[in-house]
Amino acid sequence: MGFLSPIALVGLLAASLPILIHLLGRRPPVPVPFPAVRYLTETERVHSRRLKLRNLFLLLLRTLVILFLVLAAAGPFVRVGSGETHAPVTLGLVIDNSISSGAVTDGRRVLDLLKERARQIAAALTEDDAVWIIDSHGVPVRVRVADLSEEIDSLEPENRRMDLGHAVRTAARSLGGDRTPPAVLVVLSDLQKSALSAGEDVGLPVLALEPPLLPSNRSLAAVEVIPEVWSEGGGEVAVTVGGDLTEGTTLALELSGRVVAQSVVASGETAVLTVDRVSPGWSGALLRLDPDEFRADDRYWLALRSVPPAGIASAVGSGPFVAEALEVLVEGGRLERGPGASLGSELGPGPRVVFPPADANLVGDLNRQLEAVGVPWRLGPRESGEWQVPDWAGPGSGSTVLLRHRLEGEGEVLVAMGGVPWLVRQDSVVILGSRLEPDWTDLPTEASFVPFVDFLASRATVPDSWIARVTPAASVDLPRGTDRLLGPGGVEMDLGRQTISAPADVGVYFAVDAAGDTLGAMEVNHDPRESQLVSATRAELRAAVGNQADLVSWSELLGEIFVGAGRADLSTLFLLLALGSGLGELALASQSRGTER
Amino acid sequence: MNPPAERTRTRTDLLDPYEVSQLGGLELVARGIVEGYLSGLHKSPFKGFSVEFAEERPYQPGDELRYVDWRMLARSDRLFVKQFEEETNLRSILLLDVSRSMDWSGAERRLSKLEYSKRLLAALSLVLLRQRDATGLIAFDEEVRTVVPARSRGRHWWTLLREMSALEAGQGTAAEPAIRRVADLLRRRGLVILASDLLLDRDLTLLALQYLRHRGHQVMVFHVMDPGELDLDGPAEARFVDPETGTEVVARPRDLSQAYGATVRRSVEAWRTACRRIGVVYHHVLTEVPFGYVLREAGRVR
Repeated sequence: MGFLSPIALVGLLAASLPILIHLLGRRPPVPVPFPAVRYLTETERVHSRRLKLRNLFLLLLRTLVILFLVLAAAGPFVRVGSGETHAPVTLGLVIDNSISSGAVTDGRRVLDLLKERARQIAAALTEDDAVWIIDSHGVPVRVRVADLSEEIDSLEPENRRMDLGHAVRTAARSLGGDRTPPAVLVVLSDLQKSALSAGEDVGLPVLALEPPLLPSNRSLAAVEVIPEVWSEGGGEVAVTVGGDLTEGTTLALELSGRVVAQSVVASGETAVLTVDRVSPGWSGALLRLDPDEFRADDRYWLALRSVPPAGIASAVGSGPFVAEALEVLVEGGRLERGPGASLGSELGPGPRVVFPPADANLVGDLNRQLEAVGVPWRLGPRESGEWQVPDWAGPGSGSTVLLRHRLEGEGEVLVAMGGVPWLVRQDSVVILGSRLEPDWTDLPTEASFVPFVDFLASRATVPDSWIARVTPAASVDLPRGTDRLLGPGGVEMDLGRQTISAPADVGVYFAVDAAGDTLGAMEVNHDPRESQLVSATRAELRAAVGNQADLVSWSELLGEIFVGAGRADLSTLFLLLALGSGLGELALASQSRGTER
Repeated sequence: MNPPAERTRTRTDLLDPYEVSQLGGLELVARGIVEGYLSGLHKSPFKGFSVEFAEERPYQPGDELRYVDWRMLARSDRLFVKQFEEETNLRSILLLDVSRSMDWSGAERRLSKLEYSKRLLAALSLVLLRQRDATGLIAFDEEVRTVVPARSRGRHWWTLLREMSALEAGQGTAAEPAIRRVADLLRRRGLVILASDLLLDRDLTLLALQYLRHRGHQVMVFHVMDPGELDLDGPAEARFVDPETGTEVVARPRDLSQAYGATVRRSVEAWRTACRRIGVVYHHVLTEVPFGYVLREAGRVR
């Protein structure tokens, strides 16, 4: 016999209450003068034995009442059946084939261990049982028992993260309710702590197999391309390595299958890889670490964009400081004299960076030009003050602005100060609210002045690159005009819509328009939470899915799955026994009292 | 004290014995009881006691032939006439048990068995003396304590009252010596009235009473009990102590009450049956019963 709530057996201590009350209630008998003691003596001589037996029996019955009530409260049961068969069960089998299930422990993949257990469970099922499988896709699928093993065999580690808490709750909603036979959820998983999202109590028994011991791990936790758009002179990639492996390992950057930079780095460190030269255009690069027990997070795909030096057609009217900075940039190879952007206070053909005219009387003329070309911005009144350039995507943050024109209109605002646009863009026209001269701003005296001019000249007039960094199956809004995606190995994916789910395979996917121009790139990589190979505790499991969840060993799991079905509840029997004992006590006690009257 | 007019309306003999006892001393209470009792009767009680044959004398001419003892003539050819005691010349002895067990009451407003018996016998003695029956008193516990010879003078009642009032509870109980002492005091047939709780050796007592019967005496037993002795009451568990013997019994009244009551009833029946068998008049008297009822019952049975 077993008990569903063995803690209730503590109440057995209460069964000693009648005896304790009897013993503690005994006081020295009160002396009572009574002349007719001889009658009492005679009475006791005749009846004492019967009375002692009666009182003993009453004590026994009272003790039994409490005993049976406590046993009933403890949820007693006995197993029925021969042990080889079981009553039908409704089983939800949650098999975690997320990316972390590819980690290797004791020479085997975690998923292979889980699949083996799943097959053993499947072998114990009969056609009378109902089974659902829930994998990393999170959708419960009803499976015939006969097909269960095949379904299990087909599972492989997916490149996606599995929200285990969400999967269990979804399964419980599908399997729960007044279902006959009763439902039980079995979770076969590495039970990653980072995968257990909290939610409501599922209200069903959840049996989680004790996870295998997970290996130490090292992963590519964070990657930053500096600058975001490279020139032909290359750029840098800053890589942060996560995990708990302390020894150093090789970090390499591959371009077109060739290692172009590498370093040695350990978990918790950040390495910067420098690439000296790169061909112009879009390219996919691969960052990789030396493989460990969990390989999926040792690779990271990233999109690199390199553009040729921007051309500077003219800088008339931009001021001596801008002219000087442009000379520096041309000498440094960042810019070229030739067709390209023009900088000044007038509009013309081609990309244009517009500064306010030095002569305020010419502002109106400039505004008419802007209107004529369809730019929705106007230079407003000139105002003096003191503003700081805020942190933004470009250089020059923190510089002081003393004089500016309020930019009025609607459109893309690159920088605003005090809520007033200062640097705006409309297609290939960029308007700055201040001249780059010391009377207007201290930027010309700052170290960030040349990068600022570089930005204006080479990037401001060029639309930003679209680079999406996503995980498999994530929802992605593609840039307008995207006609197809070019995936790894040149695979083309035709699209019927602008919002898609990111592909399951990791890699770099380029968004291409109908003309074949690349509009941007999508980097599909593993979810960094899957790299945290730390298993949850029983308490964390229960906090996530409810108090009916338990962490069980393999030897306990099969028994626990089927014990609820092959179990006879004895609570009613014990309640009846308690009732019978109570009625017996009442009858015996009343019989004595009633006849006394 | 009530004025005479109200006294005649109040049947003291029918009042609660405890309330009656609050009216005054033994004399006053006994008078009240007797007056109340007699006022309810058409004829004098305890009268018409059998006219007892006292002795014989030789026949003398002129004696009534109805008094000739014809049996004696048949046996001895000699003529004798019978002489009889006068009807009012009855001799009575009151036997009062003053053992310690008599000095017990089961309730605060209830007379002890001893006090009840005193008032009962005081009333009885007044009735007898009014009938000019010589009345005496023997008080006993484990031995005879007090002896007052039987007298019929009116002032004798005060003597009896004085002695009874002075009596206090003694020790154990043994009725046989007292009963046998009666035989010394009553040379001729008389009336013996025993007031006791009968918590004594039944066989010895019955033997002694039977001896009195053999001597030709009329015997009446008032088995005085307190209602508290009929049922077993008390705390959940008590140590019951016999005041005479010191015997202690620990018992739970609730457990034994029913059986105890049956034991008492059996004992009372046993006394009644045994007394009837030897020709003793038996009355079971509870100390809460008004005295008048007891006297009337005793008079009727006589």
